[in-house]
Amino acid sequence: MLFLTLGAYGVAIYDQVRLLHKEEMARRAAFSTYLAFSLQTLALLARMIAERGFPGGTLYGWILFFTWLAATLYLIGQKGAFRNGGIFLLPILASFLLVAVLLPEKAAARPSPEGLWLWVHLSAITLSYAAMTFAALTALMYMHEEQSLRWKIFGAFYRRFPPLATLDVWTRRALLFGWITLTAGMVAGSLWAKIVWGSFWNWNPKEVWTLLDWGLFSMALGGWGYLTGRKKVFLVLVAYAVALLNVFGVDLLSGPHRYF
Amino acid sequence: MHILAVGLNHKVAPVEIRERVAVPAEEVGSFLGSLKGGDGFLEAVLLSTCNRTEMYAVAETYHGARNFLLNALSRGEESLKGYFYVHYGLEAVEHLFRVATGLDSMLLGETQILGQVKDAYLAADRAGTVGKVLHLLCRRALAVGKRVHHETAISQNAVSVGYAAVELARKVFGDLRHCRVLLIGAGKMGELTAGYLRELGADFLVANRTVSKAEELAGRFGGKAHGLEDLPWLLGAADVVLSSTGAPGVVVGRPLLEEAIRNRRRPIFLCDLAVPRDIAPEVCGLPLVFLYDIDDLQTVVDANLKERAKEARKAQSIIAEEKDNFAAGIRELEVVPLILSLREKAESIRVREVDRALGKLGHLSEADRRVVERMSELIVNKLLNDPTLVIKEYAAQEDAQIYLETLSRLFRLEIKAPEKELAPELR
Repeated sequence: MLFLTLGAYGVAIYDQVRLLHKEEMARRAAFSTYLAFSLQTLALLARMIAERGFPGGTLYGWILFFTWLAATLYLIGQKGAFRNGGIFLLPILASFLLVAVLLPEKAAARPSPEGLWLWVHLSAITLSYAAMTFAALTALMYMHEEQSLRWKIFGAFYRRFPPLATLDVWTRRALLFGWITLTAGMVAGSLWAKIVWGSFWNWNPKEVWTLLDWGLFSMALGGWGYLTGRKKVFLVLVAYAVALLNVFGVDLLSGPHRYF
Repeated sequence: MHILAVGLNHKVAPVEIRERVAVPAEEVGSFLGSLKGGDGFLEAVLLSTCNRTEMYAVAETYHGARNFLLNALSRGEESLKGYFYVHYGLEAVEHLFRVATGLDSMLLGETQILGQVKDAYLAADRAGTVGKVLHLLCRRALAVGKRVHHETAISQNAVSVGYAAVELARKVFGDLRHCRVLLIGAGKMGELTAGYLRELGADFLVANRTVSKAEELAGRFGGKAHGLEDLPWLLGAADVVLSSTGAPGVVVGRPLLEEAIRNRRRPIFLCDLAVPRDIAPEVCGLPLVFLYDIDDLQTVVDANLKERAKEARKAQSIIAEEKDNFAAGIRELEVVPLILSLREKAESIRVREVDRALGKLGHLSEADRRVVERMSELIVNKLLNDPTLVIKEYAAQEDAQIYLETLSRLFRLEIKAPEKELAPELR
């Protein structure tokens, strides 16, 4: 199923690239994007049935869920400002999925005991990552467009992207949403930690990195009105890179989170 | 039946010629009216704009109509006739499609012409010179124009310096209704561009060396008039700056701008439309500042023109496709009434003869009568089956006209026009 999804992603990316130059591809690109999304939804459902619940048992399942959320946000947003945003987002999501496929399928590392706070923690954090992916995407678009305007070099991307001001607004919205869910997720996580390990905060690498990331996102959000465009989007991208390291890199270090 | 396009445009005739041939909008009706009854002449639409005067016509004979139209358009002046081009048949169709999509325009891909084609069509319809062929042709042309603008980017991307500036401003700020434009100086380019921005709902600040001139500009674009000494704070308050003074040196230097935008967080878009330039090029490096001078804008325009030319190739393939569709539509227009009237004639003969025969065969049972009736139907159908198929096949060929005419003569068919929008007085 996942291989099918990946294939569909490939087709969708190809169509999106062609759409850059050919307006009449719009329908086909939309179709292939929706097809990829539908296949992924099926894959996710299959996964949820297999794991009997929230697909958070493995990194694999979680990536499936997280990319699905990000794709959902994109599909909602694309009607307005994000036509052609897919050309950045789809490759990002596809590479996540590829990583998921290549990862050795670990046995369900389901934390025990389970509880309400754990699930709130997992869903909120996942939602936050999806929103942050979105914010990173618009930040990337902003950066490209800003550079185009500055250097007066106008390519196909430039012609298709929404105005800088719109990208600015949408980045902030995604960032705000991501920040709220991240904060909620961290609070839920620490409540859970209190129940399980008896302490709100344990200074394990995952927690430290998350705190660092939270700090960066807070800086970007708080400084939104004070920083110039280029600096804000740069901050967002740095924060997102840290988040990615957090997901994929920190797992290599030991810790109770095991995978995220 | 022949379709012709006779006319001239900016490519073949200079303005002195075009103005002598042009027909003012209010006279189009009477001009078309005066053509009625001309040499085998059936339908006509006149398109007259400042860049072209063209007549699209349907006539029974090609040569008669061609000369008749040339005479009408040149008002009988021999010296003018050499300027006209004549397109015939599908070439004329393609020409109108190209005109309607803006491919034949001076400004490649412009959309105004589409409205002018529509007006020409409606005016001719009011004058009663549009029949079924031109109805079909004009509607197709309008649809093709819309399709091309929708499916290609031929009408997108500004191709004048002023519009290019506006487009860039929109790329930065999006909706310009929340933007404040600072107009410095009273140069022509500045005013032109300011006019476009005004239409998009931007607010204005106006600064000029002589305050009286500033007041005059402020009266036109709104906002308050200022002298150049207010520039430091004006620059801080503006989102878009249009500068086109006649000053010999720099009006906005780097230190001035740096100071003015020190507390600014939104980008500022500066357009230097003056030669010599008003804004020091060094401001480019400042964060938040986008500076475009007249050459930069011209580069944008050139790139956009290239983009449009690329799109024109796509448009051309759409037009080729639509031309084929139209040809098929026209054939159907001719062949369907012919087949209908052939069938009608056969049916009326059949009914008459069967009635007569049955009248003499009063002793037949109801079942027998039905057998006779059925037999007559089968004979007619089987007899007409092959001609119907073959004529449809022939209709798809170049010389369809000959076959259609032969058929109608062989059977002495009268072709009744199915549509009521036919112009009967022109038949």
